Amino acid sequence: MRALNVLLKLLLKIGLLLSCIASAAHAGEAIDKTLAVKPDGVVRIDNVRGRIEVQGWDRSEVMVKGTLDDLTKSFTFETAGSTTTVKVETPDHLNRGNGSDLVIHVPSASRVRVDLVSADLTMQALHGSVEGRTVSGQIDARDLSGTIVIGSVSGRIEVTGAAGPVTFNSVSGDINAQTDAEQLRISTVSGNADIRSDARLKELTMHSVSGDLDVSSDLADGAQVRGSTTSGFIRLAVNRDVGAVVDLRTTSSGIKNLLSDDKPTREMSGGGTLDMTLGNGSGVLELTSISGRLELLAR
Amino acid sequence: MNERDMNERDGANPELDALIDALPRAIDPPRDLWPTINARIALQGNRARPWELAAAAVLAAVTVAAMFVGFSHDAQPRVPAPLWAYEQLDSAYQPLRHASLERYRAGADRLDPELRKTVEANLAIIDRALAEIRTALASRPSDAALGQMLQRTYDQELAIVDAVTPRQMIAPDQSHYRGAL
Repeated sequence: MRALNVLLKLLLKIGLLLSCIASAAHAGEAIDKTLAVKPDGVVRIDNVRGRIEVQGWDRSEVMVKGTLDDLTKSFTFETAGSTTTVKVETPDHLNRGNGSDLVIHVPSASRVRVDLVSADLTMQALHGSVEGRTVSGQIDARDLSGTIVIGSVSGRIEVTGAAGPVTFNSVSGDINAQTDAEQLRISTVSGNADIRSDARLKELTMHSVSGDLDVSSDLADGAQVRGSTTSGFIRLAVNRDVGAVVDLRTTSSGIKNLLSDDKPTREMSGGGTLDMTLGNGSGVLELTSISGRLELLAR
Repeated sequence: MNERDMNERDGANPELDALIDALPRAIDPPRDLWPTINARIALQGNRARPWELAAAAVLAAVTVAAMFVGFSHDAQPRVPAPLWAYEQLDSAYQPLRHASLERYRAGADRLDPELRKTVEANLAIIDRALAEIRTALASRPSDAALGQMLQRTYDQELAIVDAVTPRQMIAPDQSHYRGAL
């Protein structure tokens, strides 16, 4: 009986050792792999820390090249149906070693979804749809189209050239973007957003808690613009010939109107209102604030 | 926000500025007014009679007593006021917020200390903002834009926790909030 116990313990130890060896097989490993995929399929990328670069190209292949995280538990690179998965799994507690450093080429018409934790994300030449999120890393993106969603908790977001409906979400990271979007949604808590759109916006929705929102874009006929902030300021610069019913309202802060000769009304509370109709009045422009300033300017 | 920030104070008026600059900084009175002012102050000080002061005190006491008696013996039976939309929203979000913050507390130790600092600073900003929005709603309870601001701010709070909570800890029924971030 005792001999059996010793044998079982030995087998258990050997099993654990083999499992550790298998887990460590990917740690810090150099990767250079390619899979044939559908040109307009879904590519999902998950990674915890390091740097991920996703680039669109004209081949029907996904190629992953670079180095895996020092503490990689498992690396998945597979395609099933129209979905390709690139996933680096690591332990929960990561306070030493290096993160993954990967360049991933995908068909440019792919629908790409990237979820990172403490990793920087670069995206370029992606024309399917793009969802890129990181918790504490920075995001740099250029030449994107399709439906675009970009979000970060504390990292900065820099975007150049984003056409299609664009959504920016940030908690404390600043957003700096030049887009060609006709639909734009911006949400921040304390981060500031500075957005320029070279296309005529049909829809703009923006919300911040204490972050400042600065948006400059021509508005299309019938554009719907709605924005709110608790204590940040909103500065909106639009085309002087815009047609919209305007309703700006603050509880305890100022309103500045340099788009027309209409003057805001000041209330006893220290807040103000500005109600006016510009041009043909086909659109809606509503901004609300509690203690943050509202500014309406001409481009 | 002071008046300087309002629009009407922002535009410069050079003509008005020039006229203001041309005005003298001080004007001497044509004669010394202080002896007359002192005499009037002394006269007013002697006007109050003791019986007038006593009558004023009695009147004040009766007014205060009437107020408290009125408040404590309201003739109308009290009917609970219907909840405003924002109060209903508050009630609806409470369990979600509670669950979300519980989940955050359970996993907060695993976060990078810098990230944790950022998250908690922003949760505090949101908490203050919620209080500010509720105060504004208390004076304008039917303001739909403020109600939407309240809802978006709640959603942002939930989204922050979702974004930083280790994924295996996210309950399937709450995973959609990740979309808000």
